[in-house]
Amino acid sequence: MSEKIKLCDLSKCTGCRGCQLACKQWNQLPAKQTVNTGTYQNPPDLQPNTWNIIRFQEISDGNGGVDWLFRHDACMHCTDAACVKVCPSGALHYTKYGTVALDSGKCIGCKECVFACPFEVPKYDPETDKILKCDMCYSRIDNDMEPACVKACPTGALMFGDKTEILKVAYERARELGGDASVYGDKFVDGTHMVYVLPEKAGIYDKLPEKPRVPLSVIAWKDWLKPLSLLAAGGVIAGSFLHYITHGPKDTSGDGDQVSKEGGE
Amino acid sequence: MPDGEIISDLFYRIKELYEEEGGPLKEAVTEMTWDYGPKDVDGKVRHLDAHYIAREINGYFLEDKEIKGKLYKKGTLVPSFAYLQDDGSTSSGNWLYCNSYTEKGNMAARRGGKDSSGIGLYSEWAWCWPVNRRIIYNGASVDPETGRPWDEKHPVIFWNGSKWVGDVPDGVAAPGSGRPPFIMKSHGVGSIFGPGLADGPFSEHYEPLECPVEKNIMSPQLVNPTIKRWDKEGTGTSVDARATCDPRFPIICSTYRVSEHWQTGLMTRWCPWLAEMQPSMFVEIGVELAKNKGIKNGEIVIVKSVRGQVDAVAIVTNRWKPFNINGNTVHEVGIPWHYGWVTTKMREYVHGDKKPEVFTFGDSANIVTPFIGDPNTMIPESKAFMVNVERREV
Ligand code: SF4
Ligand code: SF4
Ligand code: SF4
Repeated sequence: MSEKIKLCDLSKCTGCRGCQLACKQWNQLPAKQTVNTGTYQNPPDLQPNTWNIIRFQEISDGNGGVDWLFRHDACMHCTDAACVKVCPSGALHYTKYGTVALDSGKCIGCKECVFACPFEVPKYDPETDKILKCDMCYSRIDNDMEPACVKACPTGALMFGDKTEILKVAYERARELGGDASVYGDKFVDGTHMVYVLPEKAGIYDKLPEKPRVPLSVIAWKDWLKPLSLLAAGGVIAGSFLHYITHGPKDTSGDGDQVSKEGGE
Repeated sequence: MPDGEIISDLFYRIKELYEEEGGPLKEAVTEMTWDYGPKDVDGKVRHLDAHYIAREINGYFLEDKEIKGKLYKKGTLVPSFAYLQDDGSTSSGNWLYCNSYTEKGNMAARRGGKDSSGIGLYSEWAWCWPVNRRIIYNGASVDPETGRPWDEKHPVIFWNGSKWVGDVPDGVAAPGSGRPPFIMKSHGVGSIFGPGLADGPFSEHYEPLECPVEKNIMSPQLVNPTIKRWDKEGTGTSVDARATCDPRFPIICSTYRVSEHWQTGLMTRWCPWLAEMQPSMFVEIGVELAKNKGIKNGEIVIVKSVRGQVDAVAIVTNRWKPFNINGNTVHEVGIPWHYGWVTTKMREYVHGDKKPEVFTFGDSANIVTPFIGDPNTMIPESKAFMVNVERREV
């Protein structure tokens, strides 16, 4: 089964929020009372009942020019996903498409994933004592349909398909846009299954870390200590920590993967 | 209860009132024919039947009538509008719909899937006015002299030597007879300007009726002399008031939509997912103006015109910039027009009233907009008028 990814080309997004609504409709997520706080962005953040939002952000160039950025924010579906790593119940799991789905029945509400995710995606619902997040519309993609948000997008900003093909489209588009445009998501956590084409510099988007960091504790416990506790080889543990001290926490932008692999050996 | 039943019920009650209390021209109500369905013993329609109404809209022969050598019996349906008479022998609710419900049945319920036209007209699927012509003014698609389609590969209609084939022809007698294709236009031709239009044909800059300048710097005429207005001396009410170049209202205001709501929002505000995304009347204010006024992003402010005022949440934004008009700085603000009291929390809900799942905030923008009609279309001039924006005293 080939890996599938969702492409989000922000240069084509008009901020219409068809995707935000389609997600709620397909997944039957209720609306909650909101207020306008001086922005179009609403609800203000991802919520247990809101699995994707458009973030509205204004940037000024200092010369009177202004840009209004719209960013479709949802689960990145990491290949080396911190949430899956920490999830003790197996609720969060990889699918055959490489996406990260959620088996709600198994979720025990421990919130480990909430703290582990470098994108602040899983949201805890105190009413049900479960976490909820985008599952890349598993019920749809497993029936040969594109995710609801992609289906609803009228501009072609959202696309879905085979990883290699969609990545090709993404690189081509970034090249075409030129300037500061780049592809985001392909270079860390072994690649994500939601990938952006960012027309502006990667660092300027609200809540989109230029270099996403998985908290050290996640790496320490799951990649180093858990396997090592099985080996019970004190010398190796010391070596691993020495490695941490010299290399710092896991840096997900490239060679970070090596850190975790070395640590796990 | 369906709307039709409500109207029917209303009719009987109003009729009773007229019968009891009388009134001018009461027969217009008391003698009205109301036979839109099978009747009860008391003579009232038991259940309104939409087919009765559809047939009445099509029209009946009210007496036996011979037309072109053929006898049409009293009570039969008129086959099409060409058969409607000016002597009281036929009825029709609307001539455009005459032919929609004939002795052959309800034409609008047809579901024929054949497309003999080859260009997707599907003439046997449902029905369209007038006389099931799918493309009006289709005479314009052929050479008037020869009847040959301009696009021979995709003919809407064509002359086969003795008759028109294809769609129901419009505005064309036999080719060469000189009848122009646009039969409903007084000159018979398509036009961007002509009889019936008050303004045009060339565009011209006029100031809105409410504007921040005393002179039109493009021409000597300040406002469009042909606009439709109701604010003449001695007419209109306070909502027709206007305030141009008035220091009390120095800010230009424009109204617009957001993608989450439709028109006045009366339908979309009830949809919780949409109300959740855009829950509130807002006013977009440029950073500079907000600073002058001490307005902070997200606070509730008052937008006020000479006609009224609304509360709105301030969205302070760099997207709105002041104008430089002939050397003067003039600010502009913008408000959406989708809100209204009916879905607000403050409204008094009495027993049985439906409450929205997600409340919205704020009143209709129509409270501040002017009532001035575009000369050709009567579209009101709600895109440009004058207001002031103030902090709410707390
Ligand atoms: S973005 Fe967060 S929730 Fe989504 S797969 Fe990655 S770690 Fe998990
Ligand atoms: S992929 Fe499905 S669940 Fe995820 S944001 Fe899109 S619509 Fe929502
Ligand atoms: S549906 Fe498409 S264009 Fe609309 S907000 Fe979502 S990503 Fe942007």
